[in-house]
Amino acid sequence: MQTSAPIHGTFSVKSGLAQMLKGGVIMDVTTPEQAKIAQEAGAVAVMALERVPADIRREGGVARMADPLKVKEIKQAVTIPVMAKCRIGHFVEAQVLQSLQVDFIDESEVLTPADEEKHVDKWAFKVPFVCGCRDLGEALRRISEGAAMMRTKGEAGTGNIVEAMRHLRAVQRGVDEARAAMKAKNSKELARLAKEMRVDVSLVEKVAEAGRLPVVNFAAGGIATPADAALCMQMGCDGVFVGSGIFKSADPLLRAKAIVQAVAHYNDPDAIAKASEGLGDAMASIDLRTLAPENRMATRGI
Amino acid sequence: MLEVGVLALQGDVAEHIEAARRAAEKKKIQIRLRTVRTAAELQGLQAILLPGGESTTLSLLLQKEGMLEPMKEIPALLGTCAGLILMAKHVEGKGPDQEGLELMDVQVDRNAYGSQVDSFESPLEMTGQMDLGKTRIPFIRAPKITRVGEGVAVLAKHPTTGEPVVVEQKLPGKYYLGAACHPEMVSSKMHEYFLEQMQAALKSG
Repeated sequence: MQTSAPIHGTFSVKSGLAQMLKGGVIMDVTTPEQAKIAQEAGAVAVMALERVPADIRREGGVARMADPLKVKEIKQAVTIPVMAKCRIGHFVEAQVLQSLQVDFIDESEVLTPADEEKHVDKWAFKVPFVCGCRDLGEALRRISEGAAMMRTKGEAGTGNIVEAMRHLRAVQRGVDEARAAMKAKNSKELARLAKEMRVDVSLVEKVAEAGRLPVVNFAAGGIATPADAALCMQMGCDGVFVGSGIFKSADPLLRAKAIVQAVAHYNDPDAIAKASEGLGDAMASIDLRTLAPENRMATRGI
Repeated sequence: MLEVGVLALQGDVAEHIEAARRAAEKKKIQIRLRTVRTAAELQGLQAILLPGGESTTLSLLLQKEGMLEPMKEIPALLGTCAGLILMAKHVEGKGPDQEGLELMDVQVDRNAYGSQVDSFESPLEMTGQMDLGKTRIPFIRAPKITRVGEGVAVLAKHPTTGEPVVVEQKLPGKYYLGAACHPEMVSSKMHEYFLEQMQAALKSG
């Protein structure tokens, strides 16, 4: 289309915001006061929520999109981008969040899924979406649906980094497989990978050429310390989401600042050491071996 | 060999590195490009590129590292979006802790184009020596340039509102180039122009 007029909601405009968030920390907040603390600590965005994952886990029941009033209050409290979560497949919650003019929608497994067959058609929205993934196939299925940013799922609300690592490694393994097939000019293998991942082969080729996901990829789920955050960064992710890790810790502002420092200087152990000093207690955590399959959030979604 | 740094604390650092690398190759200008995260790493830089990102975050990180004062001594700066906000002398709607470099005689209003639903891409109306052609340039939660000082030239305007969106300021031995939008995401032309202007400024200084 040849036009000299401004165009809104294109994929490059949507994925562009994710590009600007790189190297940053996105923090879960449940009140305007928490949002202000996150901004003061140097968060690049906040995720407006009714309850943080640790509380969703503890209280049970159906977890839904936040009250629009809460989203509005949080938007008013800060100048940094405000994200909000909708349930997997709940395209009306997504419509509501777009109407509230949130900056990013997280179609999130942390909330109770609304649809077990289909995710939201994200091409239909002007607001960009971020979605969770456990491996390359899941990431590419979400990108096919229009996601402008990915995050590895990890296991939210556990304060345990082990699942985030598993998912980061799985995504990288998928990328390596695609690259190897491309390098060997093995089009059969590329087609097999695409079929296995249930995505178009052109998307797998794109990954193979770039040697990474075609959109920005953050780590999420279980990050509780500055060292956890830097670990994810050294694993090659573009930034981190910290959910319960901040406001369920003993000193949220101090810990939030420390995690921001550790992400900005993720390759500098001296800086990470300094940031990690005297932060008080981290959030209460869970050994994944004690978590029943039905209580796992990462397995939600298709 | 020109020493060019890219501020790598947060933002679209990789995009600036790629644009600068391509620009140098195209213009056959020898540059040594390196990422910068501490005050010590600023040593010896002739230019620094300030990426787009979150200006509050960048400001806090720069203050913590004590980088603002030494950065003011660098002869040439290029900043996009958050980078422009850091370079501007006057910033509307900034928080009390948000300190910047206050180098360029412009006033900017942070996020004045609105929230992400109001972000857009558009070709620019070119009004100076730099030419970005018809390429659509992304504006992501962009700041508005609300006032331009006397020594500042407007290089590009918003095609429908006519607001300045790319500006430059030349001072003896100094060169500043700032954009409210993100040419680095789609083109290396702004970086080509920057490298040429920066060379000229270094000679004149």
